[in-house]
Amino acid sequence: MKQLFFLFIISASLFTACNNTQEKAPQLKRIVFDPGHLQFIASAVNRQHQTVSALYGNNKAYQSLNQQDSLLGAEGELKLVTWRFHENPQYYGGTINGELLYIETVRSDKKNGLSYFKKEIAHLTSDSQPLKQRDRIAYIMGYRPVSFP
Amino acid sequence: MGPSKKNKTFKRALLVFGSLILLFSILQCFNQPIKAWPVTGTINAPKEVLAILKRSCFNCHSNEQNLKWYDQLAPISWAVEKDVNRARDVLNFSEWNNLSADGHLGKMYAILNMMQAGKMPLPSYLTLHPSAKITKADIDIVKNYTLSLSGNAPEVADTKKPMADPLQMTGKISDSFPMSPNGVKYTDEFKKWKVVSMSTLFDHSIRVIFGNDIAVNAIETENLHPWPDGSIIVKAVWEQQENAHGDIRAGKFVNAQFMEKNSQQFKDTEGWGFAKFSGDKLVPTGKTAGFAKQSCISCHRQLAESTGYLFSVPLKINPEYLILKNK
Repeated sequence: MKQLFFLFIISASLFTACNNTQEKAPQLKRIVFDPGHLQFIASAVNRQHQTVSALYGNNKAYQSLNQQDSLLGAEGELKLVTWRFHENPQYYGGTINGELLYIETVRSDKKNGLSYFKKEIAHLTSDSQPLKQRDRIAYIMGYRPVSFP
Repeated sequence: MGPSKKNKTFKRALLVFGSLILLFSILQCFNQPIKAWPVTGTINAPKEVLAILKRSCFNCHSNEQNLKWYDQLAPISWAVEKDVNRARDVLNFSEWNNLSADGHLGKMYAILNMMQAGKMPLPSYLTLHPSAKITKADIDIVKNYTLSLSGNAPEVADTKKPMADPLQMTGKISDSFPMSPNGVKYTDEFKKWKVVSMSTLFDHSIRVIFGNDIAVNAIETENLHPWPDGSIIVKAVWEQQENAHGDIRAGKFVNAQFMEKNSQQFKDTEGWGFAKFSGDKLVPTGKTAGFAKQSCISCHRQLAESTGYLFSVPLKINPEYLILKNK
């Protein structure tokens, strides 16, 4: 009887442990970034950092980048979304974006004052020194819209 | 069992066997050899690569069949003929001269991917032709050769180059847009759609894949088997340009590749209507409505079945909460 009781306790704790693990494990999904009111402007791949980025912006930001203007027009907004890239598991010879890493936002107010904000999503980057905001703004403003027919 | 009953059973067995032989002989009267096509230009590759292709692929994918005796007997020969004709439509090593250098590279990557995924040679073919089996060493040889073909450096960016007209961003709609022979029409609307994924390929291209709302919803809800009708995926392709930051950016526009889901209209291609519009004039690919049966679906069917026949579906790699977090 005593042995049966201990067996029951051990079994119950094993089942409980399994349930806890299931609850804690994050469910992995296929995600598509929603840029809201912004539209796609350009993309970039960086082999050294193994990242791929998409730049989104509103129409004012698009105009600034298209005219190679170093200043973001008033109420302009840009969002650079960066992902880790991987070999495409379905096709050798290709890469595809994987984990969402971070989202950088550059905005200009009515007086054309620029603000920069970085939202870290997955802490997978190995940057030893945080880049200066000014450098990041200049980098993002250096994008040019992709060409379409 | 008496001797007369034994005799009866023997006669019956003899009759069945005789009938089968007769039927088999009659079938041979309707048996015709596989139609011989001329060899216009065999693939040019190192001899070790050629040896693998000849051993494992040529019997179906060329005009130089070296069939076993049993392959030539009806009804097996009918199945062999069907397979050979379909295989030659997709890839023909005896008409390799019709391919450009880029076409040669693209076909070699397709061959490598089929071999790596164990999709080719077909498992049913290997049952009767075990010598055609592909080994790990064979794959390494084909891979090394294929990689050697794609070793060009990416183009360096011309930062002074004028960029696109801003009006292009608004997604204009025009009746004059081209249409693929299978009825898939080009639309500018995709420029306003969400970016589903981004990719690069061995051909030094950079790609952005857009999806309409139906397609995006299908991805996020894992509703890919089958994709709902009305889903449209557009892959915009540019040449790669490297800039001073070490970034690869989009250079010259190459083409826009459409996949439009309509299970009734595109029954032969797993419900997907394929289209490719190339260059600034958006010239559609294909001469007949069935062009995708030979050139597109064969790879998509064999290698991308797990994602509903699409190669550029986002990886299932991010936590679920991000779907809500970024809305």
